Amino acid sequence: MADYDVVVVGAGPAGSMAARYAAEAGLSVLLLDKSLEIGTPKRCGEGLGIRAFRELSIPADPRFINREIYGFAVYAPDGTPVKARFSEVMGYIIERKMFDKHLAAEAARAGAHVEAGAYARLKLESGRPAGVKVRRHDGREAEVRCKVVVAADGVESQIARQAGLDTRLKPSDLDSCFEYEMAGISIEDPDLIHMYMGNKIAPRGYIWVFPKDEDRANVGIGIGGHLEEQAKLLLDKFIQSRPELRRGSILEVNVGCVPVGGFLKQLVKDNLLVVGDAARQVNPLHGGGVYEAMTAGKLAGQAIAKALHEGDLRLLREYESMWWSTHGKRLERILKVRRFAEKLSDDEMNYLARVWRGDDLVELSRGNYRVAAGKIVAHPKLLALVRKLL
Amino acid sequence: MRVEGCYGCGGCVAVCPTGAVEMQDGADIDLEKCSGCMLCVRVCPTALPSPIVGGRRG
Ligand SMILES: Cc1cc2nc3c(=O)[nH]c(=O)nc-3n(C[C@H](O)[C@H](O)[C@H](O)COP(=O)(O)OP(=O)(O)OC[C@H]3O[C@@H](n4cnc5c(N)ncnc54)[C@H](O)[C@@H]3O)c2cc1C
Ligand code: SF4
Ligand code: SF4
Repeated sequence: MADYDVVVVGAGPAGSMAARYAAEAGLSVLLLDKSLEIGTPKRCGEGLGIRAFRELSIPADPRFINREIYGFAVYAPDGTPVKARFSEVMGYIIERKMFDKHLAAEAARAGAHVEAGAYARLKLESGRPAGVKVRRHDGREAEVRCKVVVAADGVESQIARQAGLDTRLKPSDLDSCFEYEMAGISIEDPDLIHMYMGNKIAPRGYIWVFPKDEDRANVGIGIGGHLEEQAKLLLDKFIQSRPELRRGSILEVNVGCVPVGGFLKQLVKDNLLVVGDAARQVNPLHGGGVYEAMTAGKLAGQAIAKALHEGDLRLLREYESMWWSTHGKRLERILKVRRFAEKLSDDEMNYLARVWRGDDLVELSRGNYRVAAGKIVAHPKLLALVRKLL
Repeated sequence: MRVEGCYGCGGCVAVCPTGAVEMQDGADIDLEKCSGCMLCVRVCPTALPSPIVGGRRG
């Protein structure tokens, strides 16, 4: 006898959405998170595009919105900016701790039972997931049996690994990140998010300033996880070099790793589904994963509902095919853009900052590279780069 | 072996080829399983500590 229809491990955006959609369909759902407080510690720049709110009907609730964002500025190594400013809100800097808690509360409202402070390991029976073994914050241990397990345990992705999927990453598949939430700084245009490129300041990555207020921002760095350099030291160096940041206060220290090297092919194994960072479902260009985690979680929750209602676990595979034919397809295109961007020298970035406009970067971040590539072809100097792109 | 000063970001868990790192509330390396490959140290975003502090570094 199963204790629950579904156990979801990890109450990040992926897990909470999966739990919510499964529970809304009338299934009994247990949502577990090892951390003592859902959403904490934050490991995030907290930038979230408007489509996450529109497509997933999330209200722009002031309890988890810090600031409206109207565009972006990307700075080449020589300081040349590429800016885009729109008249409409393009996204928000959210309060991730409150946002994640809200999504988990919505799952609870839909009927899921949520438990923080509960560390889970997969329980196998004849090689098949049968449930989870839970170790609670007070030391109590228990086994929970279920029909379907959702692995939404983030970058660590141990639940899928325990089921026999190889979710190991090479260090180069990760961006190694360090971030401060800083106050008392000055931000040139706090309606934009700011991104600083350069192989010296942030090799194979970038530095971000995401304003939460006029004088407060998440200031962070991501660099290739295989590199000798340490993210923290490079970020400290950058902050010291910037008069507008140097004297700022530190409200939070945030450390994390983002899987940017490609996506888990197999998303369903027997009665186990893998979603979000655990399945490496992240926009590989900028490392944003909240929207991707939420959409994947929703697809997974819906597929589980269908499979269990029709009594046919093979239907769980619809999650995998749906994801790959929609978001997976888009993200694969974006991965190509990333592979190109990774190869750019500082000189090439400086040059591109003069050729490309904000709109081109918007299209590139969606995986549409025709127009941007067309502009490169017009410049003989960059022909070599086009070859790299192709 | 508990990793002193660990921020719990999970990077080392994701890359460890032998599954030696477990993390309920901070990385914990099972030295029996650890091969000493140092991938975890490479990926860790902080200058110090590294996952192998006090362990079998070098
Ligand atoms: C420094 C940094 C900055 C970022 N900035 C942005 C940004 O600005 N915008 C954006 O969209 N994305 C950003 N991201 C990426 C984004 O944070 C992730 O893609 C997103 O959190 C993925 O959601 P998830 O639900 O898959 O995983 P997570 O949010 O990581 O949730 C996984 C949950 O599983 C729990 N868990 C893990 N193992 C177990 C276990 N064994 N038992 C129980 N619970 C477990 C964890 O405690 C955690 O709460 C950033 C990432 C980093 C590291
Ligand atoms: S050094 Fe040990 S703990 Fe670190 S990644 Fe290698 S095997 Fe895993
Ligand atoms: S990579 Fe470093 S900070 Fe992150 S969990 Fe491992 S030891 Fe801790």
